[in-house]
Amino acid sequence: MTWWITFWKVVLIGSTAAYFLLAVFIVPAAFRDVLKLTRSLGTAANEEDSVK
Amino acid sequence: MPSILLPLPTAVYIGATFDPMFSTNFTTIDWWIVALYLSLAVVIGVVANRFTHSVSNYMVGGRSVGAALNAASYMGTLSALSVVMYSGLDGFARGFSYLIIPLIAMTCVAAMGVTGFVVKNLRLLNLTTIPEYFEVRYSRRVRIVAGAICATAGIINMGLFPKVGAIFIANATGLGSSGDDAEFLVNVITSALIVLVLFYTIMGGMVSVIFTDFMQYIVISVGILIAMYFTFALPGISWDSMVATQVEARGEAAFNPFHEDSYGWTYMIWQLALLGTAVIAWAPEAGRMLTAKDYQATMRTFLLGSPAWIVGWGLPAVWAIAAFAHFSSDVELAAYFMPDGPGGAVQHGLEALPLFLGKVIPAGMLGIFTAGMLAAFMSTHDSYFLCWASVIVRDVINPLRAEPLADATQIKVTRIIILITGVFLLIWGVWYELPDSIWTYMAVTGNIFLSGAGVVIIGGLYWKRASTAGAMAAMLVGLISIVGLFPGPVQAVAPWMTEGLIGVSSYVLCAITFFSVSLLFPDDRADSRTTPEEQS
Repeated sequence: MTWWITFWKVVLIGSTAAYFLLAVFIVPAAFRDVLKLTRSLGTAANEEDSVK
Repeated sequence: MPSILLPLPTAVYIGATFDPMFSTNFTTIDWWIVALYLSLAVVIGVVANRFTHSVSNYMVGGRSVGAALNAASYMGTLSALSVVMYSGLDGFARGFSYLIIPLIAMTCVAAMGVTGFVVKNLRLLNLTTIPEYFEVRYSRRVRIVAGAICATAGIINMGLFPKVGAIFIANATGLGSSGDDAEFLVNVITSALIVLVLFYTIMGGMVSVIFTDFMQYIVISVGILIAMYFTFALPGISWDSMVATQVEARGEAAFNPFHEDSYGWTYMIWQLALLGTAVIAWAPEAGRMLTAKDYQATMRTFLLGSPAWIVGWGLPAVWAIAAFAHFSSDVELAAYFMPDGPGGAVQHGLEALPLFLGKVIPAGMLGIFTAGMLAAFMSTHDSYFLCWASVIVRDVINPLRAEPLADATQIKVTRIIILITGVFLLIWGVWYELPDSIWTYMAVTGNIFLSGAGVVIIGGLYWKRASTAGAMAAMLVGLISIVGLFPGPVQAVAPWMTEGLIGVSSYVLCAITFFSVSLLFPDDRADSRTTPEEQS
């Protein structure tokens, strides 16, 4: 049982730390992606996308 | 009635008599924060409508979404309020063992992000929906059948979302404290939220979904930080106290998911099959592999998004374990939630998590947290609405016609189907009384499509002898999973058929059917078309 308690502690702390550490990088990068996406979706090339 | 500008408890504001046991810190200030957030979501939906000019823009965001935005949107979709509630229920009733479920999912997603297994090949095919793959690899008839099963299973799967959303709103805001008086009001609020999601999803399609999901990812993340801080700031709550309460109440079963008094082996194997296939075939989440600008962005989306499974699906269980420790030391609350003592079966488990958070998070912060949870509610609904409507149009209606619908007509029909789905959900989910076993309901309805689709997709990508007959047979055999919604008659005949064994059986049956029928009825066309280059 001690093994399981330590295991869940490591999983929770490790994943939460990874999530919020990544968020620091993801949020500004995603914001740049939003700007790029709004520019690219306005172009004619996308509007000509064919229907399968 | 007091002014709505005053920071008064919700039950006082609505003028109801309320039970202090169920009162929370939610005040009118928190309602204003929530209203502000919801207004922002509507504005984004309207703005996104400017970018909806083609089917590809409307359904897959023009297939030009960068890895970071795609990952943020993916995590926004993952963090569903229904999952928070389910996780809370199981954390409260079973302890730390529940964490094995998000851990399985995180491992599968991270493995696919690193190796590109399945997700790379599917992205290379430039699909618009997951069932489209079935025509590329097998035949149009398989696509139609798979699309119909996929959309039906998906829409029924959503059935419980509004109900659990209503339970959250009622308990976190304190409306639940006014008993039956507030039930109607809670249903009206939940209905209004669904109408709001319908509005911006219909307007902006996938572009709107991606933008709002990004914003919701930020709000959800802030909400999670708030809940974690105030949970562990509560006097008497710490890791050690939570562990000690669980040891006393449930012993090893609270930590070891394979223990006979916990989930057990068969349930775990079922979850492995279910979550492993959901990652690649459950359209709302798996659909994010199709919106990415290239396959590298798809792989990064899965890798970057993998910790969100533990954070979105696991941390609510930890808050619920804290709620268990806190409530077990309060005579009145313990009598309500644990009438047979902490070691006995829990009652009203779904109400425990929102009530606990409503009591420990202070006013103002509670509004931000609730906005985060409503963001989770909305980000799941928008992805699901768009996803199932796209599947019906692209994979059922279009293939049945001699000529596919024109772009503008496809968007119009998709919007109509989103609206019909929303009306169905309002009737089925809000006003219809459903059974309380939430995860079983979600898992079984998912199984209807996933048990067949998982093996058919993986087999199609990596097994040259996979045939159209095998795919069709496996998809149809998957329908047998619906038995899981009514386990009573099965267990009356065979008492050893546990919930987990019924779930696992559907995957085994589909795999056996797929491989045997493919070998018995091969089709020439499939023999040399396993790679994306060959299939496109």
